[in-house]
Formats: sequence, structure tokens, C-alpha cells
Amino acid sequence: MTLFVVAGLGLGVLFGFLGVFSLPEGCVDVALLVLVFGVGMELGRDRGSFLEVQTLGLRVLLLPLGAMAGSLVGALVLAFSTRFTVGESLAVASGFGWYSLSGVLLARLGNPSLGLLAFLSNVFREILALVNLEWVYQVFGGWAAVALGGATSMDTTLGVLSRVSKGKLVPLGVVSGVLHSLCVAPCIVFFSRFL
Amino acid sequence: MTWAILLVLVAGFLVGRMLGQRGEKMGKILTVVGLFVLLFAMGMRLGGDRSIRTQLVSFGVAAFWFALASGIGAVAFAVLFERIARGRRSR
Repeated sequence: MTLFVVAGLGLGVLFGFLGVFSLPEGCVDVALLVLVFGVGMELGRDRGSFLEVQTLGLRVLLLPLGAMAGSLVGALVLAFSTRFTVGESLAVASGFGWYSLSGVLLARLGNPSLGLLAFLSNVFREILALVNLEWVYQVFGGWAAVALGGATSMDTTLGVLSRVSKGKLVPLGVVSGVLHSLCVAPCIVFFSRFL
Repeated sequence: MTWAILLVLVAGFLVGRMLGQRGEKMGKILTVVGLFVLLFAMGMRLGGDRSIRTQLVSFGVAAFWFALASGIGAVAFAVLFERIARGRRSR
């Protein structure tokens, strides 16, 4: 799976750099919806995928809450060894992988250079998740794999999560991705304004 | 987009249940095709955007460290919280 991810991304970077052709407008949205529809179809056959969410009940929320807390703690540790303030570091990490929103939001809040950093950092977070998801799942388990994807666990990384776990992690990925996505904007505004 | 994703996921789930095993096979094909196009498009955007390449020079290293630190933090806390959740469940 990792090879598949690297090949897809690598070919894209190569063709993008060469500028041989461009993809039609809306292609990404269509591909995302096709991917999600396909994941849904696979889930339709496998009722066992929902067992974990059913058994855990509300405790399932510990996954996204823990993942978000961990992302912020990671950035907090980094804040002490970089030139960025605690508030700036936490705001950048609050993108949780959602690079388009975090970059634009921070730029609009009056800090364009921090917006650029957030954009790039969250692009890297998504790529890191896509490339490392398989071994993280094998070594640390399902929750760790979902957590690594952050907000992208309900879209871009959902396909990889589904493949490596044979569908088991899809409901967890959706729950985690939705909660992450809901928290991105409030966290960015809070950390960039009040810290 | 979040709602569209959830709606399409539910639609796929219902279609998959109706089609049975055939649906599962179709779902696998759609997942692989969709994922590849998505990865390819993301790569094309990164490789084709000159401003992103410029940003990489000035912010690339710091951005990478932020991504790595937040990713490691998320994984570590998820492992910890999973133990808490499962520990409570087994009592």
C-alpha cells in the first residue's frame, strides 16, 4: 500500500513539475467522492466494522480528543526549540492535516507567513500520514493509524485506512475526521488570537 | 464538503448492502481508482505550483518538523487513550 501511495504522489509531482497536462476543475472532489462511495460499498458487506464503534459507545470520542491533544502537545514541545511562539505553534498544529483551511484562515487572521507555514506543515502531515499509515497500523494499532491522519482520516487517508485494515477502521476514521474537522477553525482562532 | 462526504458514504453503504458480494468487489475497484486519482492530483498540485516550491525553500524545514511533531504526538496520545478506553471497557 505504501508503494501505491508513493507511486501515485510521485507520479503526480513529476507530471505537475513537467506541466505536460492539467487535471480538469473539480477532478479532486469527484475522485474523493468516488473513493468515499467505494469505501461505503465495501462497508455495506462488512457489518463487523461497526462493532468497535458500537462497543466503545461514547468512549470512541477519546480517539479524536487524544489525537488532537497529542498533536498540540507535539507542537508545544517544538515551540520551545524554534523561533515561533507557543500560540503560533499551536495554531499551526491546529490544522490537524487540513492544509487548505488552516493556511487560508491564519493568513486571513493577519499572519500571512504563519498561514504559509500552516499550509506547508499540514501538507506534510497529510503526506506523512499517507506514507506511514501502513506500518503505524501494524506496529501501534488502529487508533494510532487513525490519529496520524488527523482531519484527513475522513477523506484522503480514509482509502488507505480502509485498505490496510480491511475496512475495520473506516467508522473510527469517519468519527475522528469529523470531530477533527469541526475543531480546526475554533482551535486556530483561539490559539492565534488568545495565546 | 463534510456533509457531502458523509452522505456519499451512506449512499455507498446502502448500495453495497443491496449488491452484496458484487458490491464489495466494485467498492474495492472504486476505492483504488479514487485513491490513485486523489494522490496523483495532490502530487500534481504540489509539483506544478511554483509558489509552493518557493515556500518550501523558506518554510520547508520548519513545516516538516511541525508535521512530524504533531504526527508523533497524535500517535502517542492515541495509543495511550486506546489503552484507557479498552481498559475501562474490560472492567
